[in-house]
Amino acid sequence: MVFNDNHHLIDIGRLFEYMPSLFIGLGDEDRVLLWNARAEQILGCRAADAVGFPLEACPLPWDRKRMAEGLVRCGRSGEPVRIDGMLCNGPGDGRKELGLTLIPLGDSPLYGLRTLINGADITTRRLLEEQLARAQKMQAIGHLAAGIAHEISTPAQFVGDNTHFLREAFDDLHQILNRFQAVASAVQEGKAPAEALAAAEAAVRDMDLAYLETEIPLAIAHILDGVGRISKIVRSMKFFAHPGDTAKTPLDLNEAIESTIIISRNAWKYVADVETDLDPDLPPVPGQRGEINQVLLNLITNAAHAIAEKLGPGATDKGRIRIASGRREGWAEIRIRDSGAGIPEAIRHQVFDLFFTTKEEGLGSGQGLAIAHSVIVEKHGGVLTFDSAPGAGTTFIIRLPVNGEALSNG
Amino acid sequence: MDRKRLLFVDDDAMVLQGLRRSLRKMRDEWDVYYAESGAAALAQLASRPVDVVISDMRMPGMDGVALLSAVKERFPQIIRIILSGQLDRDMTLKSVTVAHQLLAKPCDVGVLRKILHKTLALNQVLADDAIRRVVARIDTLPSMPASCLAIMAELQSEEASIQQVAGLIAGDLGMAAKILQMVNSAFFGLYRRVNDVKDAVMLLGLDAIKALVLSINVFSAFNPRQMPFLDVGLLWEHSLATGGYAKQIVTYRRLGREQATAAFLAGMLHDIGKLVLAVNFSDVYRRFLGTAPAAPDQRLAREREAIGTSHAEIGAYLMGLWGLEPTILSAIAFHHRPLDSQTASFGPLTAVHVANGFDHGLRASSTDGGEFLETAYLTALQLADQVPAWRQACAAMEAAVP
Repeated sequence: MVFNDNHHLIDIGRLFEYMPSLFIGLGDEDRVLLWNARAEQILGCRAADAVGFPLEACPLPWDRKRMAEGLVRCGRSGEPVRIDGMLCNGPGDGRKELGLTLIPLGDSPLYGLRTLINGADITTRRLLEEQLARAQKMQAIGHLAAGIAHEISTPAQFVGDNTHFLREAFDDLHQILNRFQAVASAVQEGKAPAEALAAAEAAVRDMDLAYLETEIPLAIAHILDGVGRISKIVRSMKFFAHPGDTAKTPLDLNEAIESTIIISRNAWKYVADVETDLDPDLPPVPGQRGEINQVLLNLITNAAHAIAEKLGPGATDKGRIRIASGRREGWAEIRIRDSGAGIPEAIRHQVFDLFFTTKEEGLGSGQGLAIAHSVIVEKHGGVLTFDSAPGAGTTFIIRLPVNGEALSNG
Repeated sequence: MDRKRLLFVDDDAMVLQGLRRSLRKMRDEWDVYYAESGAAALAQLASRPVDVVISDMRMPGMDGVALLSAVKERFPQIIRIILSGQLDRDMTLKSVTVAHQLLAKPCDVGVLRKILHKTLALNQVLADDAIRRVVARIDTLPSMPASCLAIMAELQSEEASIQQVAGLIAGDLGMAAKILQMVNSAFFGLYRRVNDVKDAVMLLGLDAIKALVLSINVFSAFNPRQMPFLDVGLLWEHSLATGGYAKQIVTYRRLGREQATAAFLAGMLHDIGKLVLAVNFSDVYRRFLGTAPAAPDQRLAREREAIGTSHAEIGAYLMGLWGLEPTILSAIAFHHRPLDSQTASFGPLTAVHVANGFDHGLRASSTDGGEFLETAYLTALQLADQVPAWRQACAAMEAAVP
């Protein structure tokens, strides 16, 4: 309801009563002029207790500081200001999450209205988004697990084969050694060693000692190589799947890049070579490790898919993925460049949209870039953009604030 | 014994070197060659004969499926095996039409040697090179048109039931054999052998069966008009009846479910070679059937003369390529002449031989011409006196079915 002696405003207020979303109208000095039924319901504050008072003075269960800052920004810029994820302890079932927009009404206020606050309870939508993100993550982990299993199965195969060979080679060597021991015994006992020596030499020939002498060191080297490959994958998995909470911790982006490259190897190795150019002086950046890894994985997988699309099935040549990190003013920047098919002009505005995909069924769900955008921009105050030249490739650019706060909204 | 020639293909040189070292002990029996890509493998095959190709699945350029399809086209007599660490389901399913067997990496060398030995020994089952060439190319066996339609309808329905699907597959020779090949390939990582078709369907799951049937088309219906010389309906009835009797005989001897299942499977598949002959060697098989004597003992000899081998060996060879276990292969290969198998104890072969005889006896009017049991074999096993009791058990079973 609206309490004001301005008749026009009362009429408008009646109109707002029918609106399904929250509307609050503010006049000079942010004094509340309008407070609709949905606002009463969401905020648990009756119109009678709000209208006529400055907004700051109203008993509101939300982050007053954030609201005040938003109003200042809105007044200064004359542009609408979006406040997402405003937590609110309204009446009833506890914490809500609100999505609010502060709309400036310009220099010649309409019936005394200077600012309009429009908002909705987005708790349910947020929950759905989170479930979706989790589902996408599970799917990605499924793909990843299959890829990792393949990466491990190869060294496991040759480690096993070489070990098997060493066991047989040891038996052969042991036999040769026994024959020579017989020669030694013969000499010690003062017998003629010629016969034993002939047997020993025959064993050397039969067992192909020369072959064993070259192959045993190689087999050992390959076993060590295989175990090294497996350990590297396991280490990267530990880093990648670090069960960190959602809190931001100082993150070594170079390490995140390197481990993501290793565990996603199965996704790119058949279509591309990966090169890195990482700035060793890159400072740690506050971030949620799991989320950032997920973004890197999505972007590397996309790069591989873009290259596969360009190469076509059965191609023998490979494309290239180049990942660089560096510092740019207050930002840490990661550039992921692929030599893939590029993003056509016509769909560039859609690439970050949820469920938008050009991939074949089973390859992409249209969630990867939407999630990447939400993680980088919304959760980390960063920037995610891309440059693309159809036919020549695409570069995705991630920028994260080094001090943990966005420098600007640009 | 002649030397066998094997070709391993893998894009990882270390895998090939590991295999080379671990197979060194076989150097007196096998010549083993290695190729690092599909193209290199094809080049080698063009210049030297090879008995078996064992290929990785994912390789840059030509992948395992592409390579093995090319091998199947150009060198059909070569046995084709996939050895891969790839777990991707779609790729695995696609490979079933080009690979005889699928092995999962890492594969223990001992297991690998055993499987290769078993597979290479199949040449002794079927000596004729030209026939082997044709049989090795077979990737699916035709099914009854009605079963095909029924299974398509079931899988396309919103409420497809795996029980229904399993029932349909278990009632069709071609489908049953193909599903068992898949489920028993080491790829699915089962540690036990599955001989029960319904179990196999459950293990694969409805999604995999859907993909196999609806997109990979592993089941195809034969056209009865193209082979009027073979009464396919009768072959199906006889095959299922033989399976049922064989199982009954094993059950009567109280040998447990596993043995009974194996006997049923062997009985069901014992004449699968006839299907292969009718589809793939139709001219020569039709001519043989036109002049075949009715007496069972003469009939087999005449079949060997006309074709160079018989349905028994052909069936056993194909099922061997598809990785079925040796006791079942032996039951298929020797179901007419068990004495030739040189086995000395009761097994699926005994049950299938007797069951087959019983069913032919019951269908005396059919062209197959009456009961024939190899007395010398049954006497050697000291089982000849058991036959009347088995007959009674089978008759009781028949009576119990309305």
